[in-house]
Amino acid sequence: MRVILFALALTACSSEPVSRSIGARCDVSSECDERCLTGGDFPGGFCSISCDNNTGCPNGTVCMNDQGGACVFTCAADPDCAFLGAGWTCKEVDAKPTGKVMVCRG
Amino acid sequence: MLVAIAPAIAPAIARADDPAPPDVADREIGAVVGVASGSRVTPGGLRIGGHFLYQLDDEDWFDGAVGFTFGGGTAACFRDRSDVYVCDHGLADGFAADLGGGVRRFFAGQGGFRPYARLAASLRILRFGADDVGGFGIPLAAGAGVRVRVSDDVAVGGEATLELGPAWLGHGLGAEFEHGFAIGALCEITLP
Repeated sequence: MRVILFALALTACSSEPVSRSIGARCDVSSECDERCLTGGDFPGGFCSISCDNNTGCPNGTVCMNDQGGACVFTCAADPDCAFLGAGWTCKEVDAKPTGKVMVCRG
Repeated sequence: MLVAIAPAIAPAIARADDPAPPDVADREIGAVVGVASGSRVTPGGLRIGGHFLYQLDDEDWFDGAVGFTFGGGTAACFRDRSDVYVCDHGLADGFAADLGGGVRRFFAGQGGFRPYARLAASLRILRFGADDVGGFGIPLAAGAGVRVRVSDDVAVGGEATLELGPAWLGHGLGAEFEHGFAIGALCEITLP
């Protein structure tokens, strides 16, 4: 039984903070599950999901109004965005549908 | 009278004189159907396969095996923030074909049940079509199972196997470590 549990634990391990759906680097949307955000606000490209509110975003992300509504990582300060690489900082943006929210942006 | 009944009882007498068939014949072939767990770069899903058993000594049989794993086709590879291509497949993605062999050791059983342990190595070709990633691996398998003979020529049972080993994949992934777990039901028949 211990061997089985060990095997299942190994299988369940996943250490990636980003994925094809949210956070991976990209140049084109085919590298993502849904869409690739590019340009100066998203250095290196950023895989994201379209949204109308926070309900449609994975844990740790929120819906920003920019780009027609896209999920991005929320943050409290710049170090929270360091895992995304150089050029990413924590900024206040318009949330969707209303309000303001702190998110990682370039 | 004797002439009349002799043909009728002769087969029964012959059967009584025959030794009982061994729990495991010196040569058998079999099929396995089950599931294999995948992860990251390890294919998982429905597992079907075949075995060939050849007796080596009182306890050990050569166990040649071929297996195929059929999982889903979800894309799960991407560039992480360090611009390194990585894959994060789930439990049941990808395809694998395995061909290998090893040793199966049968232990003393009880009530017709024969437990066994199995060690094997195989050459694996694997592919994640949705990501256009393919490669090959050399998984080592350690497993255990139990089987019971249900007729002179047929045995059925179940087994569980832990698989670990290196793999080499394309698309810049390079050398990776595969690990998985498989369970299956087997049916093995005696070869003449």
